[in-house]
Amino acid sequence: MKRLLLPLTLVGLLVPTLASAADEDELESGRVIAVQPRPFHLVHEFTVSAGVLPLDAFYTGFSLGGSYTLHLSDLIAWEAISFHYSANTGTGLEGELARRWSVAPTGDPEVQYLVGSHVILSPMFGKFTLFNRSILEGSTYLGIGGGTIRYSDGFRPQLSIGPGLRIFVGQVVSTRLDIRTTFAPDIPSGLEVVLHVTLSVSFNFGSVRATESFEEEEVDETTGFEALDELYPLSNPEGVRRSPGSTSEEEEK
Amino acid sequence: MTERQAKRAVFVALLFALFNEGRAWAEEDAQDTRIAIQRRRFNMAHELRLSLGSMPVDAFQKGWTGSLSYTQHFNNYFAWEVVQVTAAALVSTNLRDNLIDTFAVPEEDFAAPRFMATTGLELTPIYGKQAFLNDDVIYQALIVGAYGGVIFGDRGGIGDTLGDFRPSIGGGIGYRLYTSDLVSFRADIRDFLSFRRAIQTNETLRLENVLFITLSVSFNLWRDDA
Amino acid sequence: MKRTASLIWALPLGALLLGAAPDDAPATDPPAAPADAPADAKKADKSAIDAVKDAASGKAAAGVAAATDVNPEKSRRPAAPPETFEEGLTAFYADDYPLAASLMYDFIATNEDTVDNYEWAEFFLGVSLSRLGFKHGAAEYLYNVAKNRSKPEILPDALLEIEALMQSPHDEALLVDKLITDSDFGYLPLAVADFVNYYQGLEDLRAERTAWAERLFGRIRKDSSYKAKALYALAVQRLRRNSSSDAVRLFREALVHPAADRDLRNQARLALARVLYENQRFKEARKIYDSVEVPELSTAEASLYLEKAWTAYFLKDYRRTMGILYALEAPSYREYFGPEKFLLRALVYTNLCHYIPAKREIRRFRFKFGPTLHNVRNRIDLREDEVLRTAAFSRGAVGRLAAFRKLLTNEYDLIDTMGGSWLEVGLDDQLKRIYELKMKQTEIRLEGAARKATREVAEELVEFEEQMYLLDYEVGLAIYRRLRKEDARRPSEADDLTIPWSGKKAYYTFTEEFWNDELPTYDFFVENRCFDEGVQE
Repeated sequence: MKRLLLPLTLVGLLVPTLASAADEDELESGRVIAVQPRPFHLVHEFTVSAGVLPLDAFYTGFSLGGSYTLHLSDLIAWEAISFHYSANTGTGLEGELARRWSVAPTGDPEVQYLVGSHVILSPMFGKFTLFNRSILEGSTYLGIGGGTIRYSDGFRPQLSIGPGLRIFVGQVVSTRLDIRTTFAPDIPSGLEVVLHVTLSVSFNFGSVRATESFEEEEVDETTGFEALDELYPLSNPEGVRRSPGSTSEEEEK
Repeated sequence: MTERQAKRAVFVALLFALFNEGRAWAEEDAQDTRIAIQRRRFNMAHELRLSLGSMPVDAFQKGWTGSLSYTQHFNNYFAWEVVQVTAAALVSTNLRDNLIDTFAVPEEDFAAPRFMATTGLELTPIYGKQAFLNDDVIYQALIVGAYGGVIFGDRGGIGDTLGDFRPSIGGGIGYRLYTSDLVSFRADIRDFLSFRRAIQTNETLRLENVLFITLSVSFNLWRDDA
Repeated sequence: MKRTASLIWALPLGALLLGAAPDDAPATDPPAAPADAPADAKKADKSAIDAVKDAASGKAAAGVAAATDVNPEKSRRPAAPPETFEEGLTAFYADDYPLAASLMYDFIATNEDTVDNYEWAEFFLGVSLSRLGFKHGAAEYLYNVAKNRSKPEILPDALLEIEALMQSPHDEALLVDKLITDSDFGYLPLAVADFVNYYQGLEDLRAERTAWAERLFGRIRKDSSYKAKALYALAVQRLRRNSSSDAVRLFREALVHPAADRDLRNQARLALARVLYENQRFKEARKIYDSVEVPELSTAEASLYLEKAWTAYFLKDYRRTMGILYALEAPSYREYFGPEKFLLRALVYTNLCHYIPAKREIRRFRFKFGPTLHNVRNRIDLREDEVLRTAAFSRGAVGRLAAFRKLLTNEYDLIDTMGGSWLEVGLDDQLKRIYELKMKQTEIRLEGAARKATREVAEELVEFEEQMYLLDYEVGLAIYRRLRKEDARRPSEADDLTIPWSGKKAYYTFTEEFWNDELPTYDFFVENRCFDEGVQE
């Protein structure tokens, strides 16, 4: 019991001790950081989505849609337009009301489709391992925006916010999970909250962002063998020069 | 040994083998080039979890829940959630209020889930980290699980409630955010199929869907590497 | 830091010489004992040369190296008829190697060695065992076939099989010393002759019979992979004779040889990088080091990392140096003997004017190797010290012998999994006898070789301890050194420790969790505390 009590009393440790919380020792002697190139560069992203609107008591919406996102940097993107059509199926509640209590509810308006535009902030980039074998790259983002919802009785404005997770499959393809909470004012009766969960496949095109200029990076093409030529002029096998930076794989080919 | 006993023995042996295999798996050979991480920063052992949550899909009563659970982690991948007990505070929806006020429906007709006791097996296939603005590194894991147990429907008195027990099975997905060796946070979404018996005359035997969303704080106790 | 620089220059050369031949040593054998000055460097070279000789002749184990008698006492069972051999052959060509092995064994165990097809039966038994993973058992039977040569027509095939067996840990005393270099095989097909000429030439080269070696190497066909290996071996020999220009030419010829395999090309690159390092062309050396590929997470990789770290250090790229040294802390390199890590870390800290961390590294060295150094001073049997033993068993000829012992153990354990027809004919018992005897022999050889190898490691360690004492003293002086304006350094790009919020690179702060893909990418973000003039270059 003592063993149990001790950790519980250390609730103070709930405060995240995140990785960069460098202790005094580290401050003294530096810190190690793995610096890796980001393998994927999003520019023009076209997304196809399937989703669900699960919260309404009377119906469940199954959505199909898509979006276009313009990536301005690795941090900020503009989901210029998104459209999701919702096909709704009853939850069986109406039938239950009728069967058990002989009550027929007045029909509430249902979501038919959603149109929006969002700012996407992607502050988190990282990687995941699947059973500690393969590595998947991914990012977590937050979408904030607004637009309109077409209900069965007309249009309503909407504001929405929600997190998302992207897993990269390759430079072109990535998969996304978005959970967006949409607030649509139902004047004068109140505020309708619509939860929209989507799974998407995204296709990325382009290599230079609107905010970037095309720069040809200077590549050092020396291989080190030049120094051998200089130090030992006769050492270069006649007529054969090593191709700069050639790897074994290339040589195998 | 009866056939049933033999089957049970085989099942137990298989289960044991599975966990032992997992145990060996956890002590991965650092020189195995197929592995991605040689030494994981966070390793779970005995997890005690306190959760607050919601059962949002019942049309008549939304449940706000509190849960306590204990999970034994066999290795970095397999765990057994030995028990999770949950109690719900039920909040009436407008629809239920209308039915009671306008149509004089008795309050005990609705019987949303009030208590829950489950056990389950969990798998953590995905573990990883993300850098927040290239600075703080946040460690995370994704959990999937299969659960089973009983749900007790609210029938007013405690005796009646315990009498309305509903065998339930479900699956779930969870997300863990590690903050220290001792503490991590979890978000879980579980969906149960609950076999609801006809207790009252206007009820029929039916399968009820119970969506259960929780946010938890987990304490990782008695680690081997502590 | 002249002292340290000269120490380091000696390291790659010694290591290169230890890795005399591509087949004989891992690409990146751990460096030889550190030497202080040119005189010491020569000493290191000499010890390296001795090591090459020992490795070549297997003399570390001389005396106990003898082929195990694979000819069992003839079974009391009735002699197997010729049909048994035929059945074994059918099973062999049907890829039923367990059955083929048992039938062939039954044939040779119950017949005199004068019976028809006896040698063929030994050959097919050897090949079947090889296919089943009993590499040493196979080597014993194939050795018999090749050594006796009573059926010359089998010899080329037997040698080809032996060549294949020599790609994994093998009994060098048996296959190389007793068979290949000690036999005259007469006419052989060209492909097999290349293999034999290479090993015989290598032996001559090690025995400093250069002309003979060159003559044998000259017989190897130009497009043979052994030609590339021969070029490499000659390059090492030229380097040993201080004929660097010749050596570099040969290394480069080996590198561009069309039949050179990846291992050889990497060894040639490594050798050339070391030559550049020796010439203090660190920038170019780093480029070639970066092109070397070694097995991931291996001791060879650890050794390569360490050489890269030294190169980065001499390029004053301290952040990269420390990054590499952190990578070496990964569990995969736990068995890598690297006292230099502490020295290099302390040097980096000293160069960055972080004197307390520098002293801490010196303390860490003493903490880590204190018990071993205590053992060395107390003159205990060095083989009993785990640190020395592990280090000795992971390098050079002893390392290969240890790998062979491991192979024997693994294959011995495999015998019990066979069962079936093997039990009936007694093949399992026979193999157990062969392996048990060889394991005993190898153990004796290993213990004999370990004595010398652990002593060498101990000497290295003691020298590093001396370096550490000296560095400790220098750090002490540096702490109280007076700052003069003219000594002020100019800040450089390395002083810029800012990390952008986003961009083309991802930054993951290291938290004692080793991701394999990150090991080569560690950067050490540390402030340079040395007195500067406040203007960036």
